[in-house]
Amino acid sequence: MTGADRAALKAFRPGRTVPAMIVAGLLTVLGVVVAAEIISTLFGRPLGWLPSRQMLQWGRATAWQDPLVLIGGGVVALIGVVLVVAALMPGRPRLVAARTGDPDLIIGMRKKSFVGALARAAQEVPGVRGAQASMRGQTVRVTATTSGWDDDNTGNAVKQAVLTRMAALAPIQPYQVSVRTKERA
Amino acid sequence: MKNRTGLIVVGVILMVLGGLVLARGLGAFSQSWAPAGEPLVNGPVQDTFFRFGPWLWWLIAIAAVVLALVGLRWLAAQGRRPALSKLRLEAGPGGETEVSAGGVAGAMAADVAGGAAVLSASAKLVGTQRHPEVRLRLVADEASPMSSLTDHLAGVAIPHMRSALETDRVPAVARVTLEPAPPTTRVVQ
Repeated sequence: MTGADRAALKAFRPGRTVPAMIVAGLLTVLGVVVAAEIISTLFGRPLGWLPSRQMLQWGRATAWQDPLVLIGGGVVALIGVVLVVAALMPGRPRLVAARTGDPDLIIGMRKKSFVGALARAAQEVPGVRGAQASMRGQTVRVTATTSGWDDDNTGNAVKQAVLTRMAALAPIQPYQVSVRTKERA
Repeated sequence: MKNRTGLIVVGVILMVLGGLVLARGLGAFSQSWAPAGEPLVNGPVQDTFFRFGPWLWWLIAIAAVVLALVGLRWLAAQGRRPALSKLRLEAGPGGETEVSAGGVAGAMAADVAGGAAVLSASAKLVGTQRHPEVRLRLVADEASPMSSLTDHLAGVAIPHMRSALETDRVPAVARVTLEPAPPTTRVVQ
């Protein structure tokens, strides 16, 4: 895989917008509340947004080995693990990246239209009355409705037609093609 | 992928903080140095706040303000990248030239739409004045090989854009919808 291919795949990885917005929102709220509470207290007019006195008393009375503290530490560490995993998992790409050979030119095909193009390639095979395609992971499943005559050869021809169109569309990641023929009653 | 970097930074900080709390509570540290039976706010903690007086609180307040600003900036970065409105080209002896980015993008879209494999195209310029980038949305004929689209973009449309913007690099991202080409109609008279 070339540098251009890697850049294209990276460009269409999910942006992790939802977890980022939640974390960014929480950081903002935490920062604003803590800053407002401390500064107002320093100027002698505490806002009282946080129960500071009760928190201090609780901190004085609670030991590090208290189950509540341990559970709290565990939950915080677990949230950290979840965030790191969410950041490191590649996730499902939003578009099918096409090979361009140029890191400054990134092309992505909309998944639905990529699958549709493969289905229409199958429909063009003689003996095929209709075809549908779907994509799951790295596999494209094609179901072709045939006239029922010489299904083996039609199945092979459909696979060949789909592979030929896929090669022309040049996706960077390889997709397996599985073909099922169905005789129309 | 700035979101992923941000999530890793926050995630690692939370993992370390949570891990330290667990380690201290479970007695993993030397008990003469950090005993598990000690309260969270013990003598040394109170002494520290007493010794530094309000300065320590000011420091914490500043840190909280910085945290809030970082959070706000991160939130603001989630929106779509706005299209550039104007572009200032290299200043020459007669002054500098300002062009409408919309006009440049329109010309680019027309250029792209001229490709044999392209059925329709739209373009916008994003990024900064110094480093503009092109975002293309186009509908391409599914029966044409991708190489014909790539050749047209890399060989014709993007070089035109580079010379129009007087810059060496114009990174482009194209989102392509594949469709069958409309049947050519023949008029028989």
